[in-house]
Amino acid sequence: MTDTIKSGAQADESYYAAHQKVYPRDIAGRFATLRISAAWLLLGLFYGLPWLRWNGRQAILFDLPARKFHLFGLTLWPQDFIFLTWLLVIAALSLFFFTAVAGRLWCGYACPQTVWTEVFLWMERVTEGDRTRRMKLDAAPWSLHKLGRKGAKQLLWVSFALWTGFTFVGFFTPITLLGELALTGALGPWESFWIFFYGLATYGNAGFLREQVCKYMCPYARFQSAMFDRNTLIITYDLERGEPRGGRRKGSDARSAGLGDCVDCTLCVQVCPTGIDIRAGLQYECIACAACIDACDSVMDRMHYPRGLVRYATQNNLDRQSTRIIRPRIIVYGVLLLALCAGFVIALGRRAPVALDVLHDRNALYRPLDDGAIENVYLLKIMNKDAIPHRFRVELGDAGYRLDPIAPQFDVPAGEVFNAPVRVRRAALEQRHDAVGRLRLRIVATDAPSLQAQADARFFAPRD
Amino acid sequence: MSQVANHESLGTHGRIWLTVLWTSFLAASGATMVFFAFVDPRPAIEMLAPAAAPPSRTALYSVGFFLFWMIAALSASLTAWLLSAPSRRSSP
Repeated sequence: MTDTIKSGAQADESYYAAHQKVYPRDIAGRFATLRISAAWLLLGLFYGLPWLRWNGRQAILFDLPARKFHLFGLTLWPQDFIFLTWLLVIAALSLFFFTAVAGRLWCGYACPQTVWTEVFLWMERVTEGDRTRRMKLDAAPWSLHKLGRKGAKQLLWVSFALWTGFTFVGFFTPITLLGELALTGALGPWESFWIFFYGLATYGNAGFLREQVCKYMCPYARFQSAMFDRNTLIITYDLERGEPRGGRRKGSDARSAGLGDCVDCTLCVQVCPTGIDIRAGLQYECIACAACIDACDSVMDRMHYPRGLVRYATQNNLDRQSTRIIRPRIIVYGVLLLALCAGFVIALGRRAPVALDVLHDRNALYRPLDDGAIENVYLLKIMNKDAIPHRFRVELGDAGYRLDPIAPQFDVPAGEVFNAPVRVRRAALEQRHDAVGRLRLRIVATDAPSLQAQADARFFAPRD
Repeated sequence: MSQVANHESLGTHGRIWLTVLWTSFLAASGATMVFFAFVDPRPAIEMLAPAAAPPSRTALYSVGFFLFWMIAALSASLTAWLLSAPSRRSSP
């Protein structure tokens, strides 16, 4: 509490000067609990999900080498790219919606940048001590003690970052296999590269860049204010109640001394991970982590003042006017969001579970047979997007052509592409037609005739 | 020089480079996703350069990503360079 704002940040004398290292003070409270719970949940999902199994394979696997995404029972193919785009649009619109309602909830509780910074800060606290100790340690000359503390921190950071990189790659390469390869030192060059790359990104972003990512790199931080209005929930300092700020003895009557409720302890500044003073008003650097609310509430409790000098409030609320949650902006965002989500679910449900591609044989256009007939060879790519295996029968509707054998059948496992060669013949009698004919190939699941797909192909024959 | 926290400072140039790399990284990620969703690099490479052991898709995707990143970074750095207004009196 005795730290002043100035000692909270060490000025750096770089030529372009501006950045000051922020040493956020640790704070407990309602919102800190919420934030840490959110961090546990999200990190748990990130580090745990790749290990989850589903029907004998990894539940969530973005199998890039096989060009398939597995999400539990669902398999997405490159042809389903529209769903990914759709999902991204939904994500963007949700961000707009929640920003309009409750400000930067994303930044404060869910953004990976916040979450990983939280973990790295925790490791820093474990190895280097609390805020005051960290500042002293940084200011102290190098010694065995400092080397030990800093070394321990780096060791924790680097191992955690590598584990993060490993987990990330585990979403794309089966993680159990990846683990075996890593343990036996048999990792492929690209797997190793991406593990280190992602590890390095984590280390740099959460260890060193921290709030600078939010201030200088994040596009959302720049445009989120466009979604704000007077009814948006923001973190604010109640200027009217707090000012004029000033120190006072506990139990003294501040009002008679002409003071507001702010005791000017600067705790709200010390806990701020982006190093701003919330009392200066809404600033784009504020990631709405609510650490300052916890800090101020703790002081208000000690002073026996009501909580909420720094609180979640809307501009209307601060101006002692009523807040309207339902307003045109919210209705528009909300309706669009609902429509997109409903459309997504419906479209996903109606997605054709089988697909067929027909490729003409590359080596020979046609082959004359002994009996005078002409044969073309095709490669059928049968995609079974269903969750169960199927047997497909190939059919040919056009008169004048026939399959050889008559109705070939192929077993296609769930979520696989099967390459099935088929031969199509045209009898010698038909030979006087055009050199290029058209035919339509169809596949029908023998166990579920409603599962079918068709594709057109060209039939080549010699010109007379 | 200050004793502390120099490693944290980026300075204006550092910030520009970081921004260039960062925005082009985002662009390259998007481009890689869209491009490889529609183009399977494996048959293409087999046709262009038949080899006994064609490179894995992972390798092709990765190389593709870095190509996109390089192109996007070129464009972004050119933008940054042109935006920094040249001084009338050129410095020595």
